[in-house]
Amino acid sequence: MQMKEKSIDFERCANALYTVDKNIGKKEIWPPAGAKDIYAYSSNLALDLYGVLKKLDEYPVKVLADKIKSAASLWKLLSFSINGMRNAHNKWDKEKREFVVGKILSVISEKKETDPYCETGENPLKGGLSLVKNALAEKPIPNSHKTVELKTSGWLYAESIYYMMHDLGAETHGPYALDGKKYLIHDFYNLKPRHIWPDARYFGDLNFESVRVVSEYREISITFDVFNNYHTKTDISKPERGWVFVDGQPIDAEKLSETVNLLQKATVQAYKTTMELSKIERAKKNIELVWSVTKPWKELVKKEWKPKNTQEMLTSKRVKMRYEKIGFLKKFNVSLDLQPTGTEELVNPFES
Amino acid sequence: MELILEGIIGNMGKTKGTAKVIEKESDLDEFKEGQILVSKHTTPLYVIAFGKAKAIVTDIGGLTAHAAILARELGIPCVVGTEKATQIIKTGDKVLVDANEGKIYRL
Repeated sequence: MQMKEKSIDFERCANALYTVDKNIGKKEIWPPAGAKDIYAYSSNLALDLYGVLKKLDEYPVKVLADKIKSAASLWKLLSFSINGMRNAHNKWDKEKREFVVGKILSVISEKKETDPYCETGENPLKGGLSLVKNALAEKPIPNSHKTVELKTSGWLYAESIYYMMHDLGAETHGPYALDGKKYLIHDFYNLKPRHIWPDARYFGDLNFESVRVVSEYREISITFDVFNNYHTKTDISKPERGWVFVDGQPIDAEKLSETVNLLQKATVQAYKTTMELSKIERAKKNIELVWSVTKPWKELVKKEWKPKNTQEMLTSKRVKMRYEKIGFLKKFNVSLDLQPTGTEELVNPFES
Repeated sequence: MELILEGIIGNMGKTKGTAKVIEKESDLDEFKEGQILVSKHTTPLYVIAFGKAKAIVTDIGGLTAHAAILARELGIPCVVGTEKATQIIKTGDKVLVDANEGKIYRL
């Protein structure tokens, strides 16, 4: 897919990110402490990302896109990078900024079936409708509060092991229209990322890697922002029918209850184990998680794949020194070139 | 009925019940089915309490806070960003959560 006209894309990208940030509001980011230091090390992370993208420049965008599971994780990486470039206080020239942002946006464009810059649109994925058809071939699960609990438990579990990058383990997509009905799919995957958490305690007694919940509605009005947060006034807690798959296999009500319990126990276990980490360990883990978005590209270049600049910064314990609270709620300003000023105008950060 | 708080609508709906203020993790163990969950913010540790809550009220957060996202899944009223719910509401208070208006009343 060809990139659209750049100036339009960059402006829409900025506005899409701004809309997400605005909706986050005042919030304590999970995990407590450590996480807010993302603002401090994001400039180094952006530098590391620039290096990686340069190495990958010769590969077709489609190849890069096919390796990434969720577009939302790329949007988050982009958000950190833009904040990082802001933190670098204009040390980045325009060409470098456009390269990083343009490359990530082009990968997102390739991934998404719908408009990737539309912060208020639906989120159908390629192949999503076939997942619905597969579900319809199975016996639906009796509606119960447990189905709803499964969705909340899955989401919280993903957050407990992936922190703010929970889209590495969860994505809600749809709605998909079929035979007069609408379908929403909650996917939870990579539920036991041992490469990130070698300590098996994080997973409790989980004996599965993925959960899929397909929900059927007569009508549903729902929109997603670029971080895969959804917004709806429809009561999605009461689908007409539902199907649950664990590791690809349909399950019954008894197995559903067991699955919810396992997820809830694992969530509590992961939370408690995380809280045993020091602040600097949590910061390092945050970086590792953010950086893991790029990990699927590692096999292409077969080279060292660590965010060296960021890791060095953390090792030298300069986190506090470099910490600057630059809120996501600030808007882009053209004249100051990526510096946040709090202006109320939505503007293109890349226009000179 | 006294208006005591206003915040951001996390999920629409209206319900009344008894408040349970979560000040520390161990408070979650005492959370009962049908109570109104009141907390500064929420973490993954709230996973079991969410399923029992009749409504959620938090001090901080926006439309994409944990509490708001999960309340939409659960179909329960939720008001976030009230700034001082945990100071104004006490455990055992009877409250009306009007998440259609983003307002909390003491009954």
